[in-house]
Amino acid sequence: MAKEFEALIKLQVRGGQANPSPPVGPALGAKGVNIMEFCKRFNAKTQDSQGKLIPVSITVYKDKSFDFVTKTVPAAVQLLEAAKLKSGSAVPNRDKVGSVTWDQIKVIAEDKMEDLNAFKVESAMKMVAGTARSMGLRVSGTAPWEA
Amino acid sequence: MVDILLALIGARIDIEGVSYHDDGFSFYIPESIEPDTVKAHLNDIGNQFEFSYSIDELEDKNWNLEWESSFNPVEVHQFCRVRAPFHEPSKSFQHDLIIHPGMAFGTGHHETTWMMINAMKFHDLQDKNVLDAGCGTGVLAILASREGAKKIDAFDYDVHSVESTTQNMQLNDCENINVVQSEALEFQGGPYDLILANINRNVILSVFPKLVEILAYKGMIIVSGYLVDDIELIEQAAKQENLKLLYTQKRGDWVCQTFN
Repeated sequence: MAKEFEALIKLQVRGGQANPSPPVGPALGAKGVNIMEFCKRFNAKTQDSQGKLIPVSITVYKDKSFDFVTKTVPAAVQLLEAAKLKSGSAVPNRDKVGSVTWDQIKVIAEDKMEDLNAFKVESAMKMVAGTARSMGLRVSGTAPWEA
Repeated sequence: MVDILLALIGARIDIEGVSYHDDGFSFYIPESIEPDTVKAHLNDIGNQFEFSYSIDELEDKNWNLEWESSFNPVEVHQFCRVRAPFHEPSKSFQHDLIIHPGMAFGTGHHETTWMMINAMKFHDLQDKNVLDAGCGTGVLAILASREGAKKIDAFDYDVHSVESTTQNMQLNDCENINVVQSEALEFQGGPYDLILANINRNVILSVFPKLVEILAYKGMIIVSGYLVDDIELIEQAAKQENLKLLYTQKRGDWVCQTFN
């Protein structure tokens, strides 16, 4: 029999470092979920991304059991790292504060393919490039499909 | 847009975690960061995006209380039962342990704790020296005490775990356990006839040489906290330390292995 849905909890938790303090403790504790069991499972699954903030969606069922799905590091975080920047632009359309290359966009796009629901790397690259521009980052060079 | 805003905040402030709500998100930072520093960064980012915010201090509390109030006892065959203080005792088990979990790991509900308890029943601990590395609630140290171990040392890097172990020792009238807060690599002690380490893959890989250093001649190490996919890595690391694999247990995706 399918389990009865209770709640969907969305968090970002550092890979391999989940512990019962916030945000995990209050978010799961309020639903009666065994916090320590979530921490152990999450840490085992994300130990290769140690210390990175990992988005995670946790489905809690009426019987207090749970499932979770982790996602890759958000594109915006990866873009800031690629551009070696701390902040975006105050006026993204006018002032460009940094740049990323199409090669960097491709690496991020490949990492984010599944999360972005993209079938082709090209589509994922366009989405990531869009995020870059809205942060005030210039995408330098020519897009591979225009070359 | 939320992701961009979070990325910008995360690039400036050391965020511990994030939770999303219908009307925005909360991010969590250590107490050591001054609220004025956070405000300065947020106001600066506010030049790029329009948003409102508030800063609150969170109380330190036992978030696991809701789950604790309804947990069922865990039974490892007839060997051991782990129950909460509010459950009735049972004489059908060789050991009936009382565990108040608090914010620490180890009630037996998790596959790894269950297998560690199960592995312990195959070893005679009478008058032995035992180490519980990464003790959590202290359930394994307490079981070792009940099994007749002479002296038990336990450590955990987490202060909540040390408090939990201390509380549970009292609940179970165990006086021969010495618990300290310590990082695994900095722990001093030994030699031990049995080392119990239910931690995780990365920590186990990094502390294997240390554990072997404090293991007595013909001593045994029981490890768990890693997944079936990680067996090869753990076995290779054990082999490098000249440890011999005695047996492997699997439960769900989790593994528990005994070496000597």
